[in-house]
Amino acid sequence: MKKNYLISFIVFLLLVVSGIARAEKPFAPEKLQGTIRVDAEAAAELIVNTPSLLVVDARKEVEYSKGHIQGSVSLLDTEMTLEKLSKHAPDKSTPILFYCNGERCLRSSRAAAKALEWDYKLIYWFRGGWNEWVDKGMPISR
Amino acid sequence: MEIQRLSIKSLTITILIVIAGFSVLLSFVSGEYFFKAARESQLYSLNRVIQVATKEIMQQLHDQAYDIATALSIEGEIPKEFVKAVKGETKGELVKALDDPLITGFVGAYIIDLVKVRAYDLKLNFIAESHQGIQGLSPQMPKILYQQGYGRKGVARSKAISGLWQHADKSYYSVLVPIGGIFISGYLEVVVNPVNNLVRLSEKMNSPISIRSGIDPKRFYYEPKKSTEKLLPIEYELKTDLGASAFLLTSYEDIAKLSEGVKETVFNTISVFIGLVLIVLLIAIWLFQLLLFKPVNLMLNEIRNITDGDISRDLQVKGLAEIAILSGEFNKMTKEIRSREEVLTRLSVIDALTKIANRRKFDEVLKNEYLLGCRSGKPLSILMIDIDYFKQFNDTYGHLAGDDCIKKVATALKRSVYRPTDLVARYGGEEFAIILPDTTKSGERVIAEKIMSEIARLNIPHSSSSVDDKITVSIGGYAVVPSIHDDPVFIVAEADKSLYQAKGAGRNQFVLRNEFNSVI
Repeated sequence: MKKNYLISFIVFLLLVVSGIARAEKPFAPEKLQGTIRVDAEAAAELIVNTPSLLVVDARKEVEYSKGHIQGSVSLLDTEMTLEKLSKHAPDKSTPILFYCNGERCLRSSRAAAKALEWDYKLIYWFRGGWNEWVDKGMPISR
Repeated sequence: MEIQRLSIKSLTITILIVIAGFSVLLSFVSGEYFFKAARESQLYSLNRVIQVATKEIMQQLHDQAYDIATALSIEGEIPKEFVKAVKGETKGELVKALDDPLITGFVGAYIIDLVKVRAYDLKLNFIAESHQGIQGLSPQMPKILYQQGYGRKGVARSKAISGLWQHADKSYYSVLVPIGGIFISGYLEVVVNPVNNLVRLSEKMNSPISIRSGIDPKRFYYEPKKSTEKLLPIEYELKTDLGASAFLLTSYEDIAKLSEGVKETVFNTISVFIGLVLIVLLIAIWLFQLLLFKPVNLMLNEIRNITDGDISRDLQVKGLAEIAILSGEFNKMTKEIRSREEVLTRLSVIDALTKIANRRKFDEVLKNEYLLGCRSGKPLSILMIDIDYFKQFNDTYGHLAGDDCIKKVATALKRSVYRPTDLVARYGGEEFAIILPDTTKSGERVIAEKIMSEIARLNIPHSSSSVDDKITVSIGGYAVVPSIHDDPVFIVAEADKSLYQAKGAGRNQFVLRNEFNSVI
């Protein structure tokens, strides 16, 4: 009987762990209503050609310090408040570009959704994020 | 060598030993091939290892050079001074900025041998280069980088380019990154000497290495510290991005241990194989001995015995199917011979016409019975029977009727005796003889009377007989107690005398006498 308990416990544990693993690595949504989705090249063009653009790195600060897109500011999605964002973009018409690690990271989409709620008018979402940026050999800043 | 002298046993054993020998030889040959194949596959895998290790080192070299170039080109002095220099102001400050990393080095554990830092404008025209580092390096950016970067537009211009190239007799690695990052204003080229990094191949391969120039293979950039005489060199040629030979990397591998292992495996395998072959050989010889050689030998001996005269024997050989069949067929043959011999024997002692014993059988039996009588002291009687006027019968009725008559008389005679030891024989012509062992005169008499009545019962007409109008016989008998001093022939002569007496007395009667000449 003890053995049976042990086995069912292990099976349960495995189910839970696999559930967590699955929950931890979901894909970001394909589309985000109200935002403009861009790839690495379009993001770079935007940065070069739109001086007023605010680039928000929604990843953790540790990741930011290891390398980020030139000129971006670090704002973790969960810690981003209207006050913090307003410091960098006081005007709601300021275009903002959000990125995080990549398509399996939900931080940028969440951050963009927050900014939408706060009535920011022009929001760009770089879904491919840091992984796409590095893979395409774009210049990085530290 | 004559084939007849070769026995199945020696031939079979020779063949088995030859097969075993060849398999052993084959195992040695295959062992040798196995050894070679193992060595070749070892060489192949070591080649792959050195290739992978070299590529890994080049990747690290790229990453580090790229990191340094990026650090220099986006922030700090170089982008600022570069903008000024492009605008037409003095280049002195830019050269100073470009010299800086060569003089002060880098923060962090970068292991690269920086040899030059150079700057180009957006159209890839040369602007300035560091005074420090190798002098006389071609001022134009390496061909490979130029080809890759020229003609790029938009953000694609800000992607980094790198490659291995040659200048004069040396090979260098360059990384080209945008000055100002994505806000690109020009390009920064960082040139490094890869030898410094390639030396680490020794750590990766865990063996001594040498690095030679791809252009001049006699020129060593790095030599192993210890002697590599007994080691196996594994070479890999590192090529430039344009396909020319840049470096010859040689790793000296100690394969003695591995070879020893392979040799041991080969030795063990061959030993086990030879052992197995020997065991199989012994089992095969034992089986052949048990199932073939032994039965064949036994059969040969038996056949020899049989052909030596003992035809009464049967082969008792157990063996394989063929041997069993052979022995069975042989037994059939001997049986046939036996039965034929029996027939022949019978034929030689039987009278062809009457099917009763012939004269030869009579003589034989008489002799035997006489000797038996000598031992037992029991009396022996002989009856001689003659058909009366048989010549006349033949003349009257023909020879065929005569033969028929003789046959009938013989049958009647046979009917007249009871005991199995009594022998009725045709003595010759129309004469018959009967041997009656252990019979006295009185017994003789009973038989004689029986014969007379049996003949009478035949009722064969005989018109030319002067005795009767039917066939009659005359019988002469003689009884004796056999003595070793006498001869059985003498009894026959005495019985013949009795017969003459019977004939003289007018035929169709019997005269029986004993050794005391008394007539009954």
